[in-house]
Amino acid sequence: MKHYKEWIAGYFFIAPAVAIVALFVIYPIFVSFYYSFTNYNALRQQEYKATFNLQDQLQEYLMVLNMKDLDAKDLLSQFDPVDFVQIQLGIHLKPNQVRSIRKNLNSKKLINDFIALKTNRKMSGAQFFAIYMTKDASMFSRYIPQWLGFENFTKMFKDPLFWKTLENSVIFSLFVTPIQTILALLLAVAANQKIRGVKFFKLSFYIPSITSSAAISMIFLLLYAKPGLINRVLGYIGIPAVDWLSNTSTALPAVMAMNIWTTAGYFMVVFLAGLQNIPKSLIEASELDGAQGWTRFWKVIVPLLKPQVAYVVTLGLIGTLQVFDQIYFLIKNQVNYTTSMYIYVNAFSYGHMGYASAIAVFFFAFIMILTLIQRRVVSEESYF
Amino acid sequence: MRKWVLVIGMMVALFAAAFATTVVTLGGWVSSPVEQKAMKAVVDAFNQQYAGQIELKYQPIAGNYTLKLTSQLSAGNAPDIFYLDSSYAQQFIRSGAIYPLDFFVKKYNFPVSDFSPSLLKPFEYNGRIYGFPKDFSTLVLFYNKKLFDKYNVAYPTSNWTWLDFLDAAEKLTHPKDGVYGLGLYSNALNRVLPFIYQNGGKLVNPDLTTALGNPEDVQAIKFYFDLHTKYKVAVSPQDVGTGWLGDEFGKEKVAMIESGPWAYSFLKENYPQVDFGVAPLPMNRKRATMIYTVCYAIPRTSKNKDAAFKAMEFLLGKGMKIFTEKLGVIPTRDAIIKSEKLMSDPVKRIFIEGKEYGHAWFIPTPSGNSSKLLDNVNSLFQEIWSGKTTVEEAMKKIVSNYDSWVSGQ
Repeated sequence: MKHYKEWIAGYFFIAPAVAIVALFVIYPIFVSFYYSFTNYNALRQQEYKATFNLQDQLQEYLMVLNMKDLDAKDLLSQFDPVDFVQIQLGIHLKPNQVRSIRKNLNSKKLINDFIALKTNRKMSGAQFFAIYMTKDASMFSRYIPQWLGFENFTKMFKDPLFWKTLENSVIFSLFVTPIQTILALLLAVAANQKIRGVKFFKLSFYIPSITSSAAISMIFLLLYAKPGLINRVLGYIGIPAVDWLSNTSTALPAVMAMNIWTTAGYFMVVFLAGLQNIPKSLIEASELDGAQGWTRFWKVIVPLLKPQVAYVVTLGLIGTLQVFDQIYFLIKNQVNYTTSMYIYVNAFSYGHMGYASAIAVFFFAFIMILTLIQRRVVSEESYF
Repeated sequence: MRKWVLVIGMMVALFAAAFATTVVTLGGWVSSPVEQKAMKAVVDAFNQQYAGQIELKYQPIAGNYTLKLTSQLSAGNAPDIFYLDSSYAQQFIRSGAIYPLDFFVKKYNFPVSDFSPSLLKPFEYNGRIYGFPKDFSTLVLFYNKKLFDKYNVAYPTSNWTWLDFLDAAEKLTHPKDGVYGLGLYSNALNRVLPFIYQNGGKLVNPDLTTALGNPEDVQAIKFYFDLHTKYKVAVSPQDVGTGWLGDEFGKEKVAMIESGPWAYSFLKENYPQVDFGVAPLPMNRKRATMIYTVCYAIPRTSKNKDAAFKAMEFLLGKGMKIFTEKLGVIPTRDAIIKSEKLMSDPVKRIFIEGKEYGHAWFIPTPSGNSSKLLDNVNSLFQEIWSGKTTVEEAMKKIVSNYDSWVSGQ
């Protein structure tokens, strides 16, 4: 019985976290999977929910200013229900909905109600159809995006810009992940030395990774500008100024360099923890066996850091493939977009939410497979 | 006992007052504290006049405006009145999220003819009007008098042609002094567009297919980029290490720029020592400029459309007078332009006249969304500017991909 109580209490404790993860992580994943097969448009979400005064709408559509002496026959001849719904009420119709309205919308009742002043009330699109459709009203109850099957995916495979962005993401990852891992390892070894002021170095290595990405991007925007610091330094050794971020061949490497600088410090902490976990006795034993300097580093320390290396490479791979904020702030030309940036612009700027979802689903699978392969290569089972 | 009656009475009166007033919310982006102050003054004036009937609440939207507005519209909690920029208004209008205003125009006899047709065009669809512009700007030619005098070049006139323009730019270009004739953006279709219109070209055909491949268009685009790549008289703000055209002009790196009233007030404030004049844009076959405007719109999800329109009427009348005067921007109502005698101001006059021959900045597309097209075109323009591709090649690419760039899905 006591055991049972604990069980309940446990679930109560994790309930808030579960709810948040379910709502903001799990649910969106499934919804975007669904959207990837549709042409979802967020702006149409309220199509059947927005309220209007039906009399106002009819008066405007039929160009009736005075509600006296109206002739039903005359009004009926001017009334096109499909046109009224699409243009006046702003509801987009699918071909089968158009057919249904032509057949089942009771225009006569609507016009008679209008003349009898019975339409002078607020209602939503869904309510309007519920009242005036003799049949099929359920087809008009809420916005359902059109089902496209695999259309978004076939479009994606034919989209050269998508492949370009994927290439950019992969190049970004292939360059940044190894360099940031090695750099982090070197920084960690340096920060692990017993020298004066080592705390200062640890701090300065770590600061970039806790600084806001926006602030760092702004600093690098100035550094990379044509009259910026980097070009001035290069100018002294006779290299002509380059507009690093506007030039399509230098923009991505420039952001890569910045990304390495910001993330190396973060991973340094991981390696530092690993280094401090290595038993002193092992190091001493290796020294007794004659392992010095580089030999000790490569043959003893690095193998002992294998779990940390696996962790850093996995996180680095995922992080670099998904890089977004720095691209968003610094990249101006779309041939330098990474896939996550391309997903963003498709969803929130081009109005192609369905297509963006399809790329996101593909990209999710892509990263997952890469991570699985990478886990096989850098096996970590023996350490955890 | 009497105390209680008094308290209850007061509470009832308070409640009655609270329920009698309809609350209308007004949303928009905030570009400067001065603008926010001006809008607050307008809102206060409205609330004074409509006390007890309608209460206008100003709720500026911070951050990425279109993104936030889209999510508010899809959740059904967008403000009752909000700004829409001409460049993307159609995207919202064509999705059905914006309420047509024709009924209210008729009901309240709203004077539509007081607005120039060119200012209303970006907000019309299917013969209905979805918004009325609050203010507008046009592009004019700014010239640095000191540099013109120094290199002995005559000031621009209102009859300047492209040839006069190029001739002056060549005379004003002195790379040794760090001075170029002209500042241009390297990747902005909306700045190339006036050249296209001046050359008798157009952006789209009546069926919304692209006209950018037409000879007049290609010729104009070629002229624009030749100013940089061939004649070498134009540099972009980035080329000389400045942020934007106003900055480039203020630092006297270039003798001429094409910009709007925002650059005028920026220069007066930040570079008071620079002596400059303004003239209409040079013309070729036609006179043309770009119009930038922002409208007030009401969403279909608004619960108080009638009250919202009344508030909008005020914002477009007395409110516009207060707002434009405080901010120094140009009102869209001809009646206000007249009553405030703005045409007697030689500088404002040039900006205002632009609306008669100018074209509002927006690209008509089937879905109303032109962001993808713009991203692609502007990227290609950047490549022409930096010599990585030619105008002919870029235009071939634009024309062949145009339909897929503007498709709704």
